[in-house]
Amino acid sequence: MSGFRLNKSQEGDLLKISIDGHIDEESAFEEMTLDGISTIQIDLEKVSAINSVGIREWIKWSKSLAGVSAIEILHCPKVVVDQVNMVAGFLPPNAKVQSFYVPYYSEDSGEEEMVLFKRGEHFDENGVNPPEGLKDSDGNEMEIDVIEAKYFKFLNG
Amino acid sequence: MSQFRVTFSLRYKLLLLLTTIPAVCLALYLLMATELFKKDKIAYVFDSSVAVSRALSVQTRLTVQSLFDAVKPIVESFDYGTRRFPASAEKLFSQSSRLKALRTYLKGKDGKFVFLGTLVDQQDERVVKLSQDQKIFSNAFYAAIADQVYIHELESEPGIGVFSFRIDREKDQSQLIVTALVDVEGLESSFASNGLYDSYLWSPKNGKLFGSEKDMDPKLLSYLGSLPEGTAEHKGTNGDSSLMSYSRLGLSDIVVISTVSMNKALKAVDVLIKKSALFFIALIASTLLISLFASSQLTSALRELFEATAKIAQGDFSVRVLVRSKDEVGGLAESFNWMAEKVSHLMSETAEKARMENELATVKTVQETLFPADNLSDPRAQVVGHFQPASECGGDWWSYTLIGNKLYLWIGDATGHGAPAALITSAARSAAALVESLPEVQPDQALKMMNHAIHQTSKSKINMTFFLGCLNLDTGEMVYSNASHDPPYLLRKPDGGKLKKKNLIPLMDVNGFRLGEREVAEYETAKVQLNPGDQIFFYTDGIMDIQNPDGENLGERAFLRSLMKAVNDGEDPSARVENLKDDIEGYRQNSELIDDVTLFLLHFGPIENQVKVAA
Repeated sequence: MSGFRLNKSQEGDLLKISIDGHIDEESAFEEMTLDGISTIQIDLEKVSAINSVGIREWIKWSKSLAGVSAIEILHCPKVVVDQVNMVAGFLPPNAKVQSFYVPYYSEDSGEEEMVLFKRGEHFDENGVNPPEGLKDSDGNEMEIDVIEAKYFKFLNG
Repeated sequence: MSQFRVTFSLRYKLLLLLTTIPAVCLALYLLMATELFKKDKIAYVFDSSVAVSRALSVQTRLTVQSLFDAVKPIVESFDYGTRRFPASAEKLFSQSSRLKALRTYLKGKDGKFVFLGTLVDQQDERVVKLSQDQKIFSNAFYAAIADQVYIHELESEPGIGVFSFRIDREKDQSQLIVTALVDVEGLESSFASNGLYDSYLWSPKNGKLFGSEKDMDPKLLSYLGSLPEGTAEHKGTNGDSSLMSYSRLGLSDIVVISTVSMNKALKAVDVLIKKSALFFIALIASTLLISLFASSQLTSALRELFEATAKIAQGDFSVRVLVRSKDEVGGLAESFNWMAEKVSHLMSETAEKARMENELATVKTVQETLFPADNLSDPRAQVVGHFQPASECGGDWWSYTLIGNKLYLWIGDATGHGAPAALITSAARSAAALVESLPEVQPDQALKMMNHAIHQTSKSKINMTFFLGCLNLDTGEMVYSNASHDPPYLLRKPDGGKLKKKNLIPLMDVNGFRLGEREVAEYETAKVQLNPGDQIFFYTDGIMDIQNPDGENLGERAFLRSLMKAVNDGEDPSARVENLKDDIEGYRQNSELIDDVTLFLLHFGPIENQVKVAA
């Protein structure tokens, strides 16, 4: 069972959508009515997994949102960032990632932490500006726990 | 199913049960009822017998009293001067219907008895004759002397009895003895046997005075108690039992004894037992018939079920039984039909499943032919691969093709896994085979053709990520294109050093849409220059989805660590792949695979200290 859930709310011409759970063959993406909507914010913070069939469903659904001026992707978890990097066309052309999570890891303590990178603060079109001095609970320095060239590739366009 | 023989059918068991229980209950009831009735009857007979004795006793006492009252004024008026009864006495005598003859005696001072006189009903010749027979009065006379009232029927003279008594005269201390012939017809008829009771008037000194013609059993006297009345059960010398009662007169120890034969007394009980037995037999017969009908109805349905199960055991799943009732047996029949339907359905499903498993096995066999039969072992490059589907057949595919000095390296991952994805891999392999037949086809062109082939096959319903590299074994230049597949890692060890994370270089300079997603798709190529000793690790994302028994994914970090460790520890590509497989299997511990796992390792250039790579 995927536990998939899609919530939406509208504020003026802004449509806010949040997605929870697994995106897979059981995910029921509903058809959106986009009249009067210029911007869509999609919050993916609670997406826990996405498989190959889920990718197909996501792409099909996200294509239906192409009519709006801009799509902002918020709180993009690693499982989604991996797909953004790997699958061409995973995000519609008018979509921009506004924030995403980057895994950090401490070799000394084994602690893991997901750090939210925000557009304008930690990254922009020119590159990534990771937060400095991130430490674990023992004061050990934590490192980005991904192949950076691969993980930040989607920022290059 | 074994040949089961019914030796004692349920029908007969039910029959036995349904008839035995009421038969035993009825028999017990009959025994108790008759015993109770018998006791009650005996008590009733005792009561009746006592009543009879008492009534006869009262009647006898009244008779004696009336005779005494009739005789006494006659005797007391005797004229001792003329030694005759006066005319008044004769008149009284003649007026008494019961007195037939009268004789009086006076006991003198010398103790001798003197005959005083007599009165006789001269009109009755029988009486006249009897009055002259002294023997008749003998016992009565002596009884009177002993101050005993005496009344005794004359067995030879019906209706006539002897009566005597003594009068003690206080004025001269003399005694008068009166003997008389009296009419005892009333008493005689009362003591005569009425067919049920035999009654006797009995005196300890004079024996039987009145009573039925039957001789009285002397043993009856042993039951006489001191009470005025009493009862006893008596067993005669002939073995017959009888019920006895007695009632004392209150005159000279005379007692009335009544007996009734036990057989006669309990005749009603016998009738009851006989009628009950007839009723019992009728009831059992009825029960038998009803039980026969009921057990037949019940067991016929069960027999039908039994025969139906035997047919099912022989493989006939079409058999059904009629549901004839709404009771448990009807419910059982309904359940049987449901079960037969389910079993039939299950058998069909099992057969279908077996057929599909056979087909899947065929698909698996066919799919295995899509993969390289052997690893590549060439002085210029080595390729070692591994594929493990998540189910019978998978949606991953990898291969290599050596054409001239060009080594084509293929890896793809279809949407999902199982048979549908496997069919797409088959389409991909077919397209790849076509591409291989064309001269000098670049990876981007190859992916474009494969995209078209897969799109025509799946109509966008199933896509496939794909990476294709073409390595020039002479120059080490690899041209590659990617259709949204996980980029392979170029593993470039530092001189003499261990492979580290920073030495993992993802080949991701180009990327394109998944194969089959769009009818027409364009792809780009990128180049990478390999140096001898460089390795490229190709994989599908299923490797990071491997879960341990706790359901935790292997994840990217652990995967990359395993990869680096395997490469650093392995002496050749084969050992490195084996190391990696062992590492991830150790993590997995035979847990179910979430997705197909495919990986292969390309080693460019000759292997250090080893020329041949094991297959």
